[in-house]
Amino acid sequence: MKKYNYTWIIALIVAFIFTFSIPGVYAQEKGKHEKNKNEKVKEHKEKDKKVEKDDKIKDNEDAEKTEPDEIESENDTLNQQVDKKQKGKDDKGKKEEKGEDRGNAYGKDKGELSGKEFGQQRASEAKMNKENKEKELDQTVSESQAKVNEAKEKINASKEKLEKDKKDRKITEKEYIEKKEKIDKAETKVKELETQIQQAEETDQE
Amino acid sequence: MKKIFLLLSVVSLFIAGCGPSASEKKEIEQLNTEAAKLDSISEQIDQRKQEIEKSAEELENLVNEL
Repeated sequence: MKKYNYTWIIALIVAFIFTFSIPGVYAQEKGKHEKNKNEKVKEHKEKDKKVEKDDKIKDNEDAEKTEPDEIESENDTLNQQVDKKQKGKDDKGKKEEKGEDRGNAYGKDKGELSGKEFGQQRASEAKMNKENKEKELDQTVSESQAKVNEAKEKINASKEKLEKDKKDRKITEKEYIEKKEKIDKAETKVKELETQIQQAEETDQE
Repeated sequence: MKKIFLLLSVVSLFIAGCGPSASEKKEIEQLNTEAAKLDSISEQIDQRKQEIEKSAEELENLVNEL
């Protein structure tokens, strides 16, 4: 019986396994590594901020001994600035947690989900987001419509009053022209808003 | 030797079978396209909403001046 040498076949299979399995493992490890790195950087930044805040407060407390009133207000301002920065950072952190800053990272950072599950989740999230936005737009449209109606009434009343005042010679020609211009501007804005509302309603129907 | 060869063949086939199939890939792509489309629509809606809010505010100011 003829003996086959399987060594080259085995080598081929091993190479095949390595080719297909290593990039996946590498990508997973890289993802984890980057996550850890980001967390470390975040921690460092938070520590720095805290130290910075403490230093500033300390400096102000030292100076307070000399000029209490001035320094107190300065201290408040600095505290507010640091708090604002911290708040901005927190918001950013929250955004990152929610995945808002990640953009449409298809196929990336999927966590425990498979490609298909991730895609389904993404699509359902996008659908929900769209529905929410539509609801918000509907609300804005109805509020704006009410504003338009109110504005129309006020414009008409203002027009009547203006004509009456002109007739009774209560206002000068210059005042009349100025007021008329304001009314015209408001009317143009009403028309603009009405067009926008109409367009929004058409989009909603689509 | 033969056993090792068989084992490796099975393992390699298993690994090769772990990846998503062509139809699944297509489905994922469709889902992603759909999500991107919906995102784009949401963005447009949001933009429209902001425009309306801005105009409404301007109108309010103009009316208050009357």
